[in-house]
Amino acid sequence: MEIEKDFEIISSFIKPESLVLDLGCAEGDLLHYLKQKKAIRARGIEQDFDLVTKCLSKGISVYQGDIKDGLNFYKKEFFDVVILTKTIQQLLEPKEIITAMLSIAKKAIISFLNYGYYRNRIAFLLKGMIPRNLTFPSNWYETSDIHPLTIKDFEKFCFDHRLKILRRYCLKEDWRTESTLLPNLFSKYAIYLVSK
Amino acid sequence: MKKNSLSNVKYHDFVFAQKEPFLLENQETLSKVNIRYECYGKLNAEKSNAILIIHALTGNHHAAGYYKDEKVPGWWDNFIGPGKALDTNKFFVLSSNNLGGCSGSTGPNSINPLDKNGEPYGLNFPSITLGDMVKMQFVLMQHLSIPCFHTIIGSSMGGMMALHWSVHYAKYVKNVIAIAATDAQNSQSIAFSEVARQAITRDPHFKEGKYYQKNKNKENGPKNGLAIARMLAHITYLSDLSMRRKFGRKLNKKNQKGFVLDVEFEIESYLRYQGAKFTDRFDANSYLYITKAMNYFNLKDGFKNLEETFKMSSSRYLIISFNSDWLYPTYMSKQLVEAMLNAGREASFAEIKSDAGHDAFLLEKKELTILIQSFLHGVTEKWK
Repeated sequence: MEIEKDFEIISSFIKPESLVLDLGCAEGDLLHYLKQKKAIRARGIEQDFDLVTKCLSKGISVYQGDIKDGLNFYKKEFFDVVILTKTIQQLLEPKEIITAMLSIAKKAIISFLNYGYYRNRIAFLLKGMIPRNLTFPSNWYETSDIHPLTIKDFEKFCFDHRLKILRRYCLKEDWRTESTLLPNLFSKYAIYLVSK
Repeated sequence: MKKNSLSNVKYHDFVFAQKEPFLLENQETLSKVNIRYECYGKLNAEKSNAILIIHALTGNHHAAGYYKDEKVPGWWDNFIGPGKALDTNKFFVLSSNNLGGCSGSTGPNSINPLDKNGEPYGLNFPSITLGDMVKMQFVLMQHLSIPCFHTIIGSSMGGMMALHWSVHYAKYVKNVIAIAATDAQNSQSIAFSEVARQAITRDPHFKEGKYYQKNKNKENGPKNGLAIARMLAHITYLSDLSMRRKFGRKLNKKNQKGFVLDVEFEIESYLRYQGAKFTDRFDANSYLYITKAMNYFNLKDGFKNLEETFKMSSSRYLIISFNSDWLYPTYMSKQLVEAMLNAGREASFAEIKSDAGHDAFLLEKKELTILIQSFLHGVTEKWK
C-alpha cells in the first residue's frame, strides 16, 4: 500500500509524456507505473544484473551501471525529470549527485526518510543511541545510510544551493496522509520536486 | 543428440544476381551470388516473428540443431531451439553464411562465373565490407518475403552487422541485440588482424591466393600461416584469467623442463591444436577478406558522430558486453548505448560477469538466455 501511495505522489509531480530517468530503478516498478499513468518515456539505471533483467522483461530501457555513470554521459537538460527515491542518504557525494541531476534534467524528484521524525528524536534523547526501528532497521555499523538527513536539512540545502522547491509532499506515520503541521516532526517520509 | 535441439536440419541455397549484378560498396559487382542459409521454427501468418541471427568472423549458417547423422550441433545451439532463448516455438529464426565466407555462400573460394577456365576467385574476389554482407542478407529477406525482422541478433562481427542493419535498413528491423560488439574496431584489433594476414600472405604456399587447384590433396595452401593467424586470434578471444585457470604454467610431459623448442606448455599444445583444426574448416582467402572488412567497418561513416548515426535508427536495442572481453571491451558497448540513449533511442545495456573473454558469447548460457528472453518478452508483450 505504501508503495502505491509513493508512486501516486511521484506521478502527480510528472507531466504526461515526459522523458523520465529513474536512478537506481530496481525492478522498474515505478517507471512501469508512470508509463501506465502518464505515458512517460522511461529510462532506468540499475546496478544489479538480476534487477536489470526484470526491467527488460517489462519493456523498460535500462542501463546497467552506477548512478554516477548515468549522470555523466547524458546531455544537458536531456530529461524532463530525473528521479532519486530513498537513496540520497546512501550516496557518498549527495551534493554532487543532486547538482548533476539538475544538469541533465530540468526537474528532479528526490525522496527520503525523515530522520527528524519525533519518535527518532525521542529514541535518541532517551536512549542516547542512534535510533533503530522499522524504518531504520540496521545497526550504525551495518547501515548503508551514511548521510541521514531531515526535512529541515534538505530544505536548508535547497536554500543554500539556490534550488527551487516546486512541490513537497510529506507523509505521516500511516504512509498515506499528508502531514502539513510541523512535518519535520510528524512526517516519516518526504518527496520533493525541485529545480534550479 | 542433446534434448531440445532441432534434428534433421537442412540448409538451403539461393542464387541471385543472375541478370542484374550485385553492386558492392567499392562499386565493383558480383554475379550469380549464392547465399546459403538455414531456418528454424515457422514464420507466422502476419510474418511478424522473424529473427535474423548473424554469425561472427569464422562462423557459418549452421547455427542450431543437427544435420542428419551429425554429432555436433550448430554453433549457437545452446540458444536456439524449442524453449530456448530464441524459442523456435514462437519465432522463425533465420541464419545465413556471410558474403565472403567459405561455408557455401559466395566467397573467394567460389568458382568465378566470369573466369574462362572456371577457376575460383582467389584474390580476384572484390574487396567487401560488412555493409555488403548486410546487403546480401537484405536480398535474402526479400526473397523469403519477410517484411521486417522482429529482431536481429549477432555477436562480435555479427553484432556490428546487426547495428549496421538498424542504421541503414531502419524500416526493416524492430529490435537489435548486439553482443560483444563495437561501432568500430580499435587500433589494437586492426593490429591483430594485420599480423594474422601477414602470417597467411607470407606463407610460401599462399601463392597470391591461387592455391586452390593443388589443394585437392589438402597439403597445399597457406595452412601454416592460417594456423598461426588462428592461434593469435584465439588468444584474443580468451582472457588472462581463463588461460590461467585452464592451463596455467602446466607442462604436459612429466611436468619437467625438456630444454627443447618443441611443444611443452599445455597452452602451446592447445593453441597448435586450435590452429590446425581451423585450417580444416576455413579458407585463408576468406580470412583475409573478412578481417579487412571488419577493419574497415565504422558505423559512424557518413555521419557527424555516433549519436547522429543512431538518429537514423528506430530500433530498440539491447547491448551486452562481458567484463573479461579485452578485444571489444565493455567501454565500447557503453559508448554505443550512451550514443543511442542521447539520440533518443530505447536502449539497454548489461554486462555479464565472465572469465571467458570475447568467446563468452558462445558459453555464458544462463546469463545470456535470461537477458535475451527478458528483452524479447519486454518488446513483444503489450506493456500498457
